[in-house]
Parts: sequence; C-alpha cells; structure tokens
Amino acid sequence: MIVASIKGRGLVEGIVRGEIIATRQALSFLGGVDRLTGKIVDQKNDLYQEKVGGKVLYIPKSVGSTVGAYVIYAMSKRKLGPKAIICKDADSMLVTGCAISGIPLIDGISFSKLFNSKLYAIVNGNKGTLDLLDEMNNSDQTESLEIKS
Amino acid sequence: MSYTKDTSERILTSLAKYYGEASRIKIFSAHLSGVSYENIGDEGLYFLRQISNNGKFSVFTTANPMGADIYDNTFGIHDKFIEKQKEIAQTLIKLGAVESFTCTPFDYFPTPKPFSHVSWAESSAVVYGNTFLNLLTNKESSLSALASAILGETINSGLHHQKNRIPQIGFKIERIKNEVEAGLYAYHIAKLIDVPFSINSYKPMTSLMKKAFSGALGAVSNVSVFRLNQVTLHNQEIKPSDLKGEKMELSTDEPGEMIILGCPHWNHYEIGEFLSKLGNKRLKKDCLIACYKGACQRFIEKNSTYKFTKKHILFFKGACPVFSPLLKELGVKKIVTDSVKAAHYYKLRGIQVNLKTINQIINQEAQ
Repeated sequence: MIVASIKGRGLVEGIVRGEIIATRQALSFLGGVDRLTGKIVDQKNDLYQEKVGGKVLYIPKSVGSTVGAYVIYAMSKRKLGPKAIICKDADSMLVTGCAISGIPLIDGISFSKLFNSKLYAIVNGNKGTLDLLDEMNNSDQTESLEIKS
Repeated sequence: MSYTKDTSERILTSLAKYYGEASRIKIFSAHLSGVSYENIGDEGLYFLRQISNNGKFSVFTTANPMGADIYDNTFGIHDKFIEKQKEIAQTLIKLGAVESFTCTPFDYFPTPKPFSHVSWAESSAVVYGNTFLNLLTNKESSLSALASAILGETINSGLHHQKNRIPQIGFKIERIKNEVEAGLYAYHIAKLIDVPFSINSYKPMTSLMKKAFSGALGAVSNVSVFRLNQVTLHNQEIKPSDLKGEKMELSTDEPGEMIILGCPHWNHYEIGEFLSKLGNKRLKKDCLIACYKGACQRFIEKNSTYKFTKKHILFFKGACPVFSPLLKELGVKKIVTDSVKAAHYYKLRGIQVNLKTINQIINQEAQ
C-alpha cells in the first residue's frame, strides 16, 4: 500500500521498485563505498557495512572525489549498484554516474520526508516521484497522492 | 553518431538537465580524474577503451595521477596492476591527453588566461584554478570532464557565472602558520558552510599552503572557490584552537612507518625547498614524495649528485600513493604526512595518520 508520495526532481529516467536504505550523512562514493562489494565502508556513515546493491539509496548529498561517478558505474556493471538514488542535492558526480549506469536519480527530497527508513518505494525518475510503500507488493498501485515536498 | 560522441552527448545532456537545461559553452582545456586503476578498476578501463575506439579529445587535456609509478616500479607493485595502469595511461594518451599524470597541472602545463572557461575534474585543482588562477570551472565529475574533453564544451552554469562565485561569508584568520594548519582550516570551514567564502588574513599563503587548503577543501566539501581578503556581509573569526577537534579527528600519535609527502603533487621548487631545509640530515624512515614525472626530472637535472637513497627519499612519479595498492603491498598501516587531504582519504582506507608539518618532520623524523 502506498503510504505517501513525494515529489522531487527527476534527473535520470527510469522506474524501479525496491527497499529504501537511508542515511543522514553525505556520502563520498570514492573511499566511502567499496566498488567491488557495493558495501559502505565509511565508518562515520550510519549505513556503515550496509550493501547498496539492489536498494533504493537515500543520501542527502554526495561529497568528495569526482571519481565517484566511476565507482557508481563500476558497481552497476558488477550488478552491485543501487536500483535508484534519491537525494536532497544532486551534483555532477551523481548525475553523470547515474546517467551512464542507467540508475534513476531524483533530487530535492529531504530526509525528514522518509519518516521510516524501513519502507519500500517506487521511484519514478521520469516524473521525479517517490511513492513510499509499507511492504514490497507488486500489485501496489503506483498512482501518486502528490504531497508537495 | 559514434559511441564516443553519443556517450559524451548523453553525459552532457544529463548535466544540462541538472543545471536547468542550461546552454553549453566552449572550453579551453580539460583536466581528467579517474586515472588510477585502483579507483576505476576493470569496468572503468573497459569504458575508456570503448571511448577511445572512435574518438579524440578536441581540446588541450591533462590527466590526474595514476595508481602506481609506471616509469620506475621501485616498490614492486604487482605486475597485473602495472599492466592495467599502463593501459589506462596509453588509452588516455591515444585519446589525445598530454602525458601529465599530476593533480597540479597548473605547475607545468599551459593554463589559459584568467576568466577562461575550462572543465576540470580534480577537486583540489578545481579549487586552486578557480581561486588562484581565476579560471572558471565547476567541479566536474570524471565522466563530465571526459565528455567535455571530447566535445570541447561544458554546461554554462554554476561557477562559470560570476554571480555564483561571490563570497557569502568572510573568515578572519589571524595567520595560517603552516601547510597542516591550512588544510585543517579548510576541513573546519567545510563543516560550517556550503557557499563561496573569503579568507581574511594579513599574511599571504605560501604555495604549499595554497595547495594544502585547496586539497582539503576539495576533498570534503562541494565549495569549489574561495577568495582572499574580500569584503563580505557576514564575518566570523576562526582561531587555531578551533582546529584541535579537527586534528584529533584525523591524526593519531602513532609513529608512522613511512612518511608520505606531495599531496597535492609537489613541483621541483617545493621538492628543493624541503631538501634544502633537510640540509645534512637524513630521514630515519622511508619518505615518499609524490610528484609529476617532470618535477622529479627537473630537480635531478639541477642536483645530479644528490644522494636520495642515502636520505631515505623516494619519488612516486606521475602517481598518487593514496589511491594506490602501494601501502597494502608494503604492509604499511601507519603513516606520517603533512596533508589533510591525504589524512582524510587514508583514514577512510583504514590507515592511521600522524599529521606533522614539514618542519616537524625534519625536527622529529630526521637525524
């Protein structure tokens, strides 16, 4: 069942459904994520040791090295990349890394909108919408309730 | 359209969408990141191979350091890595990049005149170029700089416009005493704000301080330009005591097994200054200096009798020891460095760092 629908800005197209993992901390993909395992290795991040593979990853923003775009691409080629990335503020690293990897990307969504990080979501990169679901059920309707973020 | 142009177009189109469908602008040069095999792996190498099959860079293009010194593998980094790293280097040269492999391209390669539009992707060089050379560049991703090098243009947005480069806050710093302090000030400021700022200080920064500040800021912040001694509406003082927490966060008291210098890359003047300060002393442990290949050559040409090995000094040419298998292969887990940028990334890689200034290194680590 759709619990809420949040409107952001779709930057890379694609529609996927998956479990959300969310962090309040900015993430450096280079050095902060292991491209060989898809695991977050930044000990300061509250997703430390979590794997991003197959998940809808929420970060407020990325920071640090510009090489992060290659890290996203390499994880995606190894099928260890996130299904989608949602953030508050995107940057060129996230945009180009996701574009070349075919990972839907939405920005303009703050952490407080994800009131329960154990939720599932339907990410629509074409429309820039994030539908929050209370369980992973393929029969869920995808029509949005359109709550302004 | 070829795969190379098509991919480059796709990258810049996605970026234009991010910037609100902004137009494109011609660039005078590009600087690429994503050169170390340690960082981009087989997937990145495969991508570069594909790009190089039917395309060429259309503007002057330099490239970042590699993951190993392929010219002189003194440390015996394993053959497979060297082979792959050589292939990345050859692929970039085939595409038209000059054999630069440095994070400080402004030290040896022609930079366009001030207010020229460029597309640079090394975060420390972006801050340095915007701030000290008055170039106009956003912090490009590895992929967008590559696409820009192919197409000869970038998106006309962000720091390409003067209105986005105006400092919003001034930080009064009495004086920056050394390169470690410079890096720590940048590390501290990165936690305070996310907009261009001014450093208001009566004492000018040395070349090492400029590099250290730019390196640290680029590593931990998305702010890619600052100004010196500009009038701002809001002002705040930062004292050396504010840096204690930052140093505790990055540095330990553990004696390092090796000294690592040259982050960002040193030029031959900076190498010469360090060796001149070292004088007749000899370092007690191996000291690795990372630099552009030509910087090392220039120094050796002028000082052909200098006994580097007796002094325990080794060069890591055209390479970056941070994003390299070097320390893992040597079994080194604790290092000494004067670079806050290096300390930040080493910490993420599980290496313990003891931050010391060059003067402290000479006083405490040499005899």
